Amino acid sequence: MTSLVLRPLCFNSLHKKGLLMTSMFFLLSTGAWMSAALVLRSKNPVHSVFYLVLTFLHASGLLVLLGLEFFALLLLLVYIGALAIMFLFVVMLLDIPATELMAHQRGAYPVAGLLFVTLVISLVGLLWQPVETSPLVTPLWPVVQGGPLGLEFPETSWQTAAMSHSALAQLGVALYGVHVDLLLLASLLLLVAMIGAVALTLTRRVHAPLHDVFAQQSVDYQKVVSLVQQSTQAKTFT
Amino acid sequence: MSVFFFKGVALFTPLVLFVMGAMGTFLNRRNLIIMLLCIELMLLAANLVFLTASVALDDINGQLLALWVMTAAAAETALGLALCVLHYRLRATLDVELINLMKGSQQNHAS
Repeated sequence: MTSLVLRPLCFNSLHKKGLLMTSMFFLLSTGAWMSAALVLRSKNPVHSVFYLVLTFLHASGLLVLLGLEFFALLLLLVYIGALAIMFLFVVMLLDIPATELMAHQRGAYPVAGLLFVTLVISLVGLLWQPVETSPLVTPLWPVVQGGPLGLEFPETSWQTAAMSHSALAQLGVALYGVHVDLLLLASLLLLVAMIGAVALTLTRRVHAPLHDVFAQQSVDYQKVVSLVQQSTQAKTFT
Repeated sequence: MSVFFFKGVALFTPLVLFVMGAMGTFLNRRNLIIMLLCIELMLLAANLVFLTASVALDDINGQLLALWVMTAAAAETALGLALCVLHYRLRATLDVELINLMKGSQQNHAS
């Protein structure tokens, strides 16, 4: 087991804490699986949304075990606080009958086989970890491990940042400083989604006045002024 | 013993979650809302993989990408629910098998 390339996954604290954290991990992941299965199996979509909230709760517990408290809170706030409530609004707004299980599964067996093959390949790649002689060892691994190809860990700004800042400050530097293009792309994506959602569900009234922006902008102001003068003259004459 | 378990098992949980979401999307399709929920499940699994790998490899970019996946999931949910509402207005059902408005005819070809 010493020739495994993967580091022990960040569970240095878990090794010290021992059996409690291990059992917490298994408990939370089993709970996530069970609630995910209940998302699939429950007939009522409202129950499905509630089981999805339960899945997110278990996942945020897993993130706390990983040591990522910020992302656990973000999962709670964003997913459960916003997305699940949005799902609940739509599910309760629309009158969706409780549908029959196993209703529409015909013709999906090739997809099922593809998924099964993917699962098997992933399981094999997961449990049979790559060793140094394996072709699965990409150039990423020796750099990360700092070992077998003689490559030292690169002296990037990440390392000094990791030494001097907390993980959240480091994430802030990465988000707002280094990868600010990703931040701009994300904001653009959110803008497109917001405008798209509004434009999709917007319905006009039938006899609503149509605002022709081009006609409004291209009004000749001199004619307008002359028209107003004529009307005032007409008023004064009468 | 627990060290041996944790090496792969930390990635095993999101893998099973992802396959469950894919099964719900492709196999167990009943209505559009359930399919959107299953897509959320798949995105959650991808997020967990990103975060676990980020902690395992000591790289902050995984957490950055997880944040980006969360943004994309929010946008996807908003647009998907808007499409749900729109299709419910047209057809008064969200059954996936009955979504055939783009087949050129208003009649139901599924039967």
